[in-house]
Amino acid sequence: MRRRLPLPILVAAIIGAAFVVLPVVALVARAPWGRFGDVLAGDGARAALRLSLEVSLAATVLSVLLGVPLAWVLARREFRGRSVLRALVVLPIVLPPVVAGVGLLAALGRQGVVGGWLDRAFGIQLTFSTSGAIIAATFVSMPLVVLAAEAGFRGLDPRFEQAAGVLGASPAYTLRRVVLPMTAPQLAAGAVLAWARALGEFGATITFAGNLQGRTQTVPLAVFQQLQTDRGGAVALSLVLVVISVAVLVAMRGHIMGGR
Amino acid sequence: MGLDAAVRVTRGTHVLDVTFAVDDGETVALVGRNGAGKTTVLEAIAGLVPLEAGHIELGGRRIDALDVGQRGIGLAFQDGALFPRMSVRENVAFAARARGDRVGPARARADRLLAQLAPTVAPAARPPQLSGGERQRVSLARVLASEPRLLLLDEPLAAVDASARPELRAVLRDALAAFSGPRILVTHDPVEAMTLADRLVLLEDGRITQTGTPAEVRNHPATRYAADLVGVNLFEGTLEPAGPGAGTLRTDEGDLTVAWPDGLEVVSTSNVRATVAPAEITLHAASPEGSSRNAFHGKVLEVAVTGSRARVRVDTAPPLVAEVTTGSVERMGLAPGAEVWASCKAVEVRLMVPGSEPDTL
Repeated sequence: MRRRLPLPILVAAIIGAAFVVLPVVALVARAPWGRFGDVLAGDGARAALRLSLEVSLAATVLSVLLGVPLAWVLARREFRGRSVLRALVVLPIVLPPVVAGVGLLAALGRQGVVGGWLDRAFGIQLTFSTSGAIIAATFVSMPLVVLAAEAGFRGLDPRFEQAAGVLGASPAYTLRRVVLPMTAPQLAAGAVLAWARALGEFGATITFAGNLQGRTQTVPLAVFQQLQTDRGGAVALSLVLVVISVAVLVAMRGHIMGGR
Repeated sequence: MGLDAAVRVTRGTHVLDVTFAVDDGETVALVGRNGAGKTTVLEAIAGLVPLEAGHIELGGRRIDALDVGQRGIGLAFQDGALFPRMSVRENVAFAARARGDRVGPARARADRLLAQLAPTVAPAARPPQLSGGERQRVSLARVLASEPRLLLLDEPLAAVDASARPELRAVLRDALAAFSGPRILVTHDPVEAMTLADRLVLLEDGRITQTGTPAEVRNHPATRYAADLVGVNLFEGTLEPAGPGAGTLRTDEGDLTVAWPDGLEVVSTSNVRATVAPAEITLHAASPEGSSRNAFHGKVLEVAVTGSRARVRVDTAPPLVAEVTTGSVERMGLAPGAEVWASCKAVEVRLMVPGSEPDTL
């Protein structure tokens, strides 16, 4: 027999659910359905959508290429300062994105610690460029890859690697043929989460890369800008991001929400 | 040549300190209870656990400073450690590829080894679909595909159904015999140790307590553990029907009356193995009366006392080892040369019939 829930809990639960659902419902309710096509066909929106796709995919690829080896080192090698490094690596997840952007400016800006040298030696300027937007997105999304991949590597029975090693396989061959295939689900989950995070990135991007249409203005930045002049357009663009996010959630429900 | 190992490893409060050698073409069974350090010895030889002190020499060459993959060692893990996302064939080919073979020759080698060791396993199957016995066969094929110079088998029969054991034991015996280098088998199963190994090395609490042939250990167990574990009476011969519910196991050294196994076809069967625990053999001063179907007359050859128990070896046909209390030794005046009767009930003889029977031990 199911017991009735205490009233205060039920009320709090309903309010909580409404609180989360309401903004999404409101977006749908206020969407300018009549000129949806016009908004999305506009130059600014099309450029922002294309740029968002490019930047988020590039950031995902970078996050995987750099994050997976880093996760491997954190999971399988013991060295001094490992726990400190692990904490620092996941710091961008909790760091306010604006702070991340300021940090990136200090490091890679024209007067930055590394950025100044890049500018002098190679003439490379990352600020106010698409590369800068990619770097900002990578900075905030790579920790998600590291977290997921490290969990995957740690969950893998070391005997498989030992067996491969005794059979004479090099560490690289073992990683490619044994470890990566066996941890593919976790790596994929990390990559999708990183992509979703990169797609929604705002604070670090606008701080470090600026808000230049066609170069650094991704969809979230375009939404922010449009909000000043055309609320309906902002809502339409926002709905596009909602649809993409829901699609990601649905695709990942087995990994993120434990099924059902 | 062969293997010469001196292994010292500390794990927590456990200290493992063993020194032993294995000749080329010799099978040594490393026998001990769970936690005695058997697997750690293998892991140390393979390089998965660093030596605290000691050395490992294979074919006259020090290998303990070499990388894991450079030692030329074949280690079959207890559960096989087969890669679950690769097919059976890819698993075996992996070993050949890791050794430097190209894809084509690696697959050919895998197919050849699988046909020989696991003919009933589909090469495209994934390891999680296999039975324990099939997994061991594939694991053995994978280990041999890397062409090792030393073979280490960790409890190859432990994760295998009792009904599949006799057949797998035969496969193991052939594979061991065909391997020319030293081979080490880790086990806690006395039948496995005594039927597959030329020599036993008994490990207790990280130390070797006895080394010898199965016959030597059976006849002269150095510790209680050795007596309990390895000191079983083992027979091999042809099982023949002998009246309702009974059979006779004819061995070269004498006959035993046994209970006919339930469900076994009532025909003569060869290569049947049987064990009787020494504690189940009763010694009598005179010809015993009662339900014991096996009663043998003979002389005491030897009395070995370990703690409060004594193992008495008698020259009956077949020869037996009985375990009795030291009180019985005194009361019956058991000493070399004394005449005794030894008996055991037919149902106490445990049978292992190739291919069919439950494997109880």
